[in-house]
Amino acid sequence: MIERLSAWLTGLGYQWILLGAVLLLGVLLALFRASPRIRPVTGQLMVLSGMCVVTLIFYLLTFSLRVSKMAADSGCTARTIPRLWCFLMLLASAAAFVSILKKENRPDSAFGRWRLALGVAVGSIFSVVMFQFMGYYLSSAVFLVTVMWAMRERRWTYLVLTPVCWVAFTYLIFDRLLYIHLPMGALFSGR
Amino acid sequence: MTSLLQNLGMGFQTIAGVVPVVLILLGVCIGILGGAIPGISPSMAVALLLPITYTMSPTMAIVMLTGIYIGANYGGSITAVAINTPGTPSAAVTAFDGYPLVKLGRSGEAMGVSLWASVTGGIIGALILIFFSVPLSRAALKFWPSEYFALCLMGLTTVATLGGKNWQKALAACLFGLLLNTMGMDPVFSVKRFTFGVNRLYDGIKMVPVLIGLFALGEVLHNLEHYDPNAPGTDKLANYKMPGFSYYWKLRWSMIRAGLIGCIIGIFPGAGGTIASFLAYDAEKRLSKHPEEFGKGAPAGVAAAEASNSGSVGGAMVPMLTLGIPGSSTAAVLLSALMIHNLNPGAELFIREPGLVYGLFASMFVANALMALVGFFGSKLWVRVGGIPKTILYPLIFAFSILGSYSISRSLFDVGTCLVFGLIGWMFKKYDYPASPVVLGLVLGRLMELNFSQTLMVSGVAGFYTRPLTVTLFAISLLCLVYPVISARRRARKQRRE
Repeated sequence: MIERLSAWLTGLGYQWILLGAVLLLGVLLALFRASPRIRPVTGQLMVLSGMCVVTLIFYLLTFSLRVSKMAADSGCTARTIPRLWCFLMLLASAAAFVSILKKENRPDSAFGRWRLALGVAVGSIFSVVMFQFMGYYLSSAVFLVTVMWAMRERRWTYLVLTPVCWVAFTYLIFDRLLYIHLPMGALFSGR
Repeated sequence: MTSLLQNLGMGFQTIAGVVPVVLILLGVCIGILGGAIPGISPSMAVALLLPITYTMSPTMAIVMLTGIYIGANYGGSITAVAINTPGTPSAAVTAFDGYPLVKLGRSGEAMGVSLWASVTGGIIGALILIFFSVPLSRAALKFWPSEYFALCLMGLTTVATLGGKNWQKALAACLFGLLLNTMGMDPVFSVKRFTFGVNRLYDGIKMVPVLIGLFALGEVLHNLEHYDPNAPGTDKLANYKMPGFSYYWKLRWSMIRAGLIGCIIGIFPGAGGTIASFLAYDAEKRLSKHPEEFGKGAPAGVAAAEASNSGSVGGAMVPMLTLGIPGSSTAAVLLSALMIHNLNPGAELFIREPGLVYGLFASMFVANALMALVGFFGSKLWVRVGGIPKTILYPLIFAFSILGSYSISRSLFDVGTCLVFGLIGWMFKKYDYPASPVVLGLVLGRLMELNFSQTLMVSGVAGFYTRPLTVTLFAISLLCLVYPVISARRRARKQRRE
């Protein structure tokens, strides 16, 4: 049964596994939020749950790992160590779970300007995606100006000089000195 | 002993001259710059400069490359201290206390301790390399896989001190790191594990993007969450001043202990400066009268991390020169440099090329002295980054992190890894999960698995309890793990009674 589940999981693309994990975490979040006792420590439990979900996925996937006869005879296979860590993770998570519930830790701190932080993180992902089209230099310059603007920087000298200096620094050090050629993007490479 | 000193004198004669000193200085400067840039590891810095040494004499080439190695190991700590972005994996431990010190407005102390601990550790490493290289390398080679495994387990016990009150969370984070380390090819049977059909994961998760993500991006995202555009600027860093000699003198035992630990760990092939830093930091915290200050800006923590990191350079050279076995990835590049110049490392090298060997030993002292000079004047420039307005600093750290993770293997996948771990680092910081145990798990995981499997294959489960040294190391590990928990409970019970 578990081998079949493992084989099915192995056959899935990582996008589906990720989606499944997010859904599972969503259900757990709803459960934690529903309990008044657990609500103040929901964030801490969600981080722990995230690690446990990864552990569960890894544990299930170990059943599909190839085992050679030589490995089986030696008593140690490619499955041994991941399972050992999974087992120990189960114990450690249980200990952490009890400790959080017993309120040995502080309650979760409230979210501050999380939209700004998340926006910068998403912006950086967008900037990385744009490397292939706009090239590294233009993309990073746009990213820098955007983040500075989002942080309410309005001095135009800073807004202009920072990306210009950054582009000059990266070009001189990485491209000219270290021969690490950064992506030029379709826009500049003519592809 | 007399002949050793005579040979060392000959070594100093070999490198006495403008050209060798300029080459060492150049190597140290390039190393510091390379180490300070996240994504340029010491091994990469040495490898990048290797081609320009082809036309040099073997001695000049090796002393210059060694200068890079020494400089890069220190350079990693500059950005770790100034902006919480470790330039090298081994500098991650320096950031634990270096960056909090900077945040407390004690940047001069942080930079000074980091510099002088590096120099002290480097000199200790060089001394041990000179006087004990042959017997130490023989002893290290007698270690069985079970002893390596027990040594790694001892490294893992640092979780108990890294976690402090949150030791359960630290343990879970460490196991998470160990589990993530199992991704990629299994080191013994070459079985593909947890790659999810992504070819880039065949080599597992790369260390540097994870480090940059967890520490630098995690910190910046956390700071952005609490960013207040109307908050007054800080001039804490404007008062940057390195402390006087008496300040460092108080930390002498921390530096010496850590330098020795670093050098000894460095001798073991595959162990390296990162493990050495963790172990030395842990030892220092356990021995400290104020362990609660560690992680919040303890100068002894910075001293331990940096001295052990630099001490590991000398350690890594011991098996490289005497047996031809590199103690670290950078030592492996140096080994290839020796071979490119038609030199075969081993006992014969000491007889056939004494000028080169002792010139190299002498150059390590010169490189450390030059590093002290360059670091003393250069760190004043570096530490000013803390005085840059946050509206410039935070976006630049982001851009630096993306660039650093990209430049390792010119892969956008690494950048993605860095960003994912940045988000993880943010959540860890927000909910009081220490990030350093994840790194510890990632550092030790592969070595542990390899030696665990080898022990089982060679001697079965009995391999773990039949060798006295293994059992001793296991016992020490258990003691290290249990002692902080028991002492914390005792303290709590005592407080309740009072």
